[in-house]
Amino acid sequence: MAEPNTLRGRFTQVEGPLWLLVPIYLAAVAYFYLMGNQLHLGMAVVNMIILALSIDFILGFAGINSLGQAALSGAGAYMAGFLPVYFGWAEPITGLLVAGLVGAVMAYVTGIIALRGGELTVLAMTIIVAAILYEFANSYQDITGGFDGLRGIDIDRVFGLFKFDLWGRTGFVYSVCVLFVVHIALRVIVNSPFGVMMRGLRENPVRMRALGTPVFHRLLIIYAIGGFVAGIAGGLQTQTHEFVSMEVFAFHVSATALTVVIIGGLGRLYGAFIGAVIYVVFQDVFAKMAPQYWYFWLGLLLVLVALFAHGGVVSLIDKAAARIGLAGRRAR
Amino acid sequence: MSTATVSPSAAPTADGQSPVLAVRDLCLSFGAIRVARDISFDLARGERLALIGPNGAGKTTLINLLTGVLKPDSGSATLGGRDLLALKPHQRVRAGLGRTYQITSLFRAMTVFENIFVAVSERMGASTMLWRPAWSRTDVCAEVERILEIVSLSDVASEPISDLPYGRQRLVELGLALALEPKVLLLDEPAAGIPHREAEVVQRTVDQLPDDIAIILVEHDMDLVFRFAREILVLVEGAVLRRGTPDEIAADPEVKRIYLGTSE
Ligand SMILES: Nc1ncnc2c1ncn2[C@@H]1O[C@H](COP(=O)(O)OP(=O)(O)OP(=O)(O)O)[C@@H](O)[C@H]1O
Ligand SMILES: [Mg+2]
Repeated sequence: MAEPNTLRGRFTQVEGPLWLLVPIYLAAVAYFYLMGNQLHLGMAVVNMIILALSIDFILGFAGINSLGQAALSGAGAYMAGFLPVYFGWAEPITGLLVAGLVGAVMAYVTGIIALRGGELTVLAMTIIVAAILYEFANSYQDITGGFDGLRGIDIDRVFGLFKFDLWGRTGFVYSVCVLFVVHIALRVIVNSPFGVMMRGLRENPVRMRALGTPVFHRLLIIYAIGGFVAGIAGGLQTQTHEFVSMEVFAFHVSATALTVVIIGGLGRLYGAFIGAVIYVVFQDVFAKMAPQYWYFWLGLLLVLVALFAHGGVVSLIDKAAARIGLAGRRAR
Repeated sequence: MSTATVSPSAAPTADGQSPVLAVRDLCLSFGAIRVARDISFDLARGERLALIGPNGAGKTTLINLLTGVLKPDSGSATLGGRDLLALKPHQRVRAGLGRTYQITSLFRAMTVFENIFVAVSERMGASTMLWRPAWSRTDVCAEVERILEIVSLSDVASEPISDLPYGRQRLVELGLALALEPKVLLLDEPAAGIPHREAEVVQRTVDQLPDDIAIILVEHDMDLVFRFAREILVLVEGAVLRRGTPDEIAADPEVKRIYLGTSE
């Protein structure tokens, strides 16, 4: 019987080595000290990463096509707003957990219908669910605040110590910490037997059924976990901005997060990181140059990725790392 | 057991004598084409049964009916006394019915080890474990290595399926079925479409499968059929034509005319 270390080499390496965590989170620390006047941009990136992670988890690892992730993150975003406004529950960490739970429940319930059909059905159903929620938020403006947003969100200090300030100092650190926890949790899951099973579902769900896997039920659980992460992403946005409007259900939220994952690389957690950074920097640069054309440049980037970096930018990095003998076999 | 006659109903008792698989009067039509006509047969524990018949005879269809890919119009089937047709496809697998596919159906982007791991971890109830690395489940991994040994794939355990020659992919297919520890194993042309040298490995592996598994082998290669089978079931146009020992089948004039005659 081989040792766990040799055994490890028998599995596809779906994640970078553990030490990669150090430079990545050190970069966040450096950003905090060096770019103190740009913390809101940093927060937007972190938020985008978490939402992209939730899509990568369900699509990249388990093959669930979703273009309605905004339904899940939006539900979490509103819950994080409703808690302080209507229930007097302003403690951030428990509030974020409840937002995640709402995202998970939303995923589970809508998944019962959405995950039944084939790939296109899933795609269409997820879009429809988000669209329905959007209209819902529109119809009940006295509760949701509609376009103008929900008023009076006031979140308590984190740990009773750190107040969410105008410069986003607390918000940024809080966001990075949340990202870290989510990242580690997802990393543990994708390396677990459950994670191997997820990739099996992505590769060949029919064969999975022939191996005795209750495919639909497993997809529901995976979708709910993804919903939890999406709910966290939404809740985090509400808490750090102390604001939420029906825009959280808009189609472009889902589309953007999906684009981020495709640029970065599906089926790799770091794909979400790289994709989000590229997307936000790209947007920053090109939207300043020519706001009306910025989608053209984004489209061009997507085409380039499809042509030359099938598997996203992360796959290019993999190839480079393999050339200098750094990394093991890449995923996909 | 060497005749086509069968007992009128499958005995539900668990004693060693009752058949592990009992099929009664299975019928299925695709529109006007009747692809299964009153198919009945028993399969004893550890049985080695070859299922032969011309192209389009309905062999794969029969396998699909048993595994739940297709639903029969009428008829019944029991596995170890349980009503097979009442179970969902994945429940049939858990009840002990394993299969391989005529056309390889694997997890292509995953390693050979991971392919077998998926199956073993499902059987051992490990695939809902979220919090430990897969490689730390040494109990599952040991079982995976045991199976890789049986199908002689240990040397390529860390290779992704897509890097493997087709012949060795067929062995993974076999390994997947074995990983389920089936009571009944349905092998749909395990050596079809692969070079002779590799076919030899597949055949040897099939020959050495554990004794207690009852196996139905669908195969066109008569050498392999006669080497493997203790009994042969001949299917023609969706109906059972004969069942008998290899000698009986070889001597049967009608089988000769319809089946062996056309392939010779
Ligand atoms: N989904 C389907 N719809 C209509 N007809 C079908 C379908 N699947 C199979 N058939 C027909 O049913 C018959 C039996 O097919 P089956 O694949 O079971 O044959 P087989 O004995 O496995 O043949 P082979 O030796 O070529 O694998 C054939 O006439 C085939 O054309
Ligand atoms: Mg066939």
